[in-house]
Amino acid sequence: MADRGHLEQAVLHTLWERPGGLTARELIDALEGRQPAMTTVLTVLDRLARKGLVVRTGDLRPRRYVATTPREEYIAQVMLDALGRAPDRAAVLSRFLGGVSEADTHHLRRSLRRKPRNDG
Amino acid sequence: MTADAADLYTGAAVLAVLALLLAVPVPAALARARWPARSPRPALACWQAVGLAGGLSLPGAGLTLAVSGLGRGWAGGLAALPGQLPDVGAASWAGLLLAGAAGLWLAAVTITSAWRVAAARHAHRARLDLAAGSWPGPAAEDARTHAGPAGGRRPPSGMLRLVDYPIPVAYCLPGLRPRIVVSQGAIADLSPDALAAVLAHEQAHARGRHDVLIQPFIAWRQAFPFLPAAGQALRSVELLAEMLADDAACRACGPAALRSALQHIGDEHLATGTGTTRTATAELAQRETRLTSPPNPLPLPAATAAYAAAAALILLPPALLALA
Repeated sequence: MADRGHLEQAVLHTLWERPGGLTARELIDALEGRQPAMTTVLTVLDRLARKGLVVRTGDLRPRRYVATTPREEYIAQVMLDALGRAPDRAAVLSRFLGGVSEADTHHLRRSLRRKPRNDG
Repeated sequence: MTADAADLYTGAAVLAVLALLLAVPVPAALARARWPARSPRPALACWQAVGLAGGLSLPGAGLTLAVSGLGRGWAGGLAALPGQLPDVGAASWAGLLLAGAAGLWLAAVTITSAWRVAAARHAHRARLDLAAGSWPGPAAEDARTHAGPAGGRRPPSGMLRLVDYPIPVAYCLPGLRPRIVVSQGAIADLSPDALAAVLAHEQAHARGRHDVLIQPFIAWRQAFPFLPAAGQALRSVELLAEMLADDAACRACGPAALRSALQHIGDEHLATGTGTTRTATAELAQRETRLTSPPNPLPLPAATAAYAAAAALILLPPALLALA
């Protein structure tokens, strides 16, 4: 389980660094450390796609995989989830200090509105 | 036999009064009391007893009323009740209705609220684990070296998550596989000692399973949102859990480090004192006062009395009924 989670994270972080996307083969070569099997990587990509974090592009094989959400935006979403004012939030996690200011929420919303990069 | 029935009618009435007391004046008084800040642990025990006894006394009153007319005592009456259902009187039916309605409602809310919180926690943990930098990465090494003096006591790295985010953020995602989350902004803004204090604070939440202590009160407020006492109880229990974690951080890193952390993360978050942040401002003030002039903990006899009162509140009603 932990291994699969690590691989999922490594794949996503690699795709974040290549906004143009990668084929599964290129992705395996780009991963550091012990290289996983092709089927394993395809399973991980499939799971990330179901979570809406990765899309397959192009009709030609081999298909390219692209991260849908830039890294900064994804992190900002997770932090907004943690710091936001959803009624259950204080139950779900305990923040070092209970409240979150307007300024923080503005900062988070602003970074969410930022256009995804189109370079690469 | 009639004396027995009278005893049980009295018992039902006492339980009903107890339910009422535990629903309004007792939590209000406990929330106003000043001694809990001196010794959060016995105070939390008292809150747990108030919550548990309050939750049991209302359905308990109904059940007791239901068996009062059977003349077989409490335990015997409960056993005989299903067989005698066609013949029992209106009072027994009213009691059964009360017990069933109150019991089912409380059980349903307790289960759904725990389920909702667990699901939200699970979802957040999955998203967080994808966002946090791989461990141990260069950023993680930063956190380790920063953790400085409390290095020996810092959370195990499997629990720590470092998020590349500029605003100082620190929180604990409790559970069987807890996460302590710190942002790069927190590492940049906090001194090594203050960061160590934050980590010790969050680790106390995770280790002590403070979420389990708080959960019943979330359910309670959800079950009776119209009761002001339910909201007061939840806020008090949450604040006491914070104080418990503050005490742990103080023992590990000293009050100065924790005060510095509270001020840094506090200033950032409390710059605008509107809406929900007003509660946080009051909370911060109380926690800071506790650090600058620490109150004397309750003397041992008083703390023992608090634990004894908590135990009595839970054990006495069923014990008395079983003897009836």
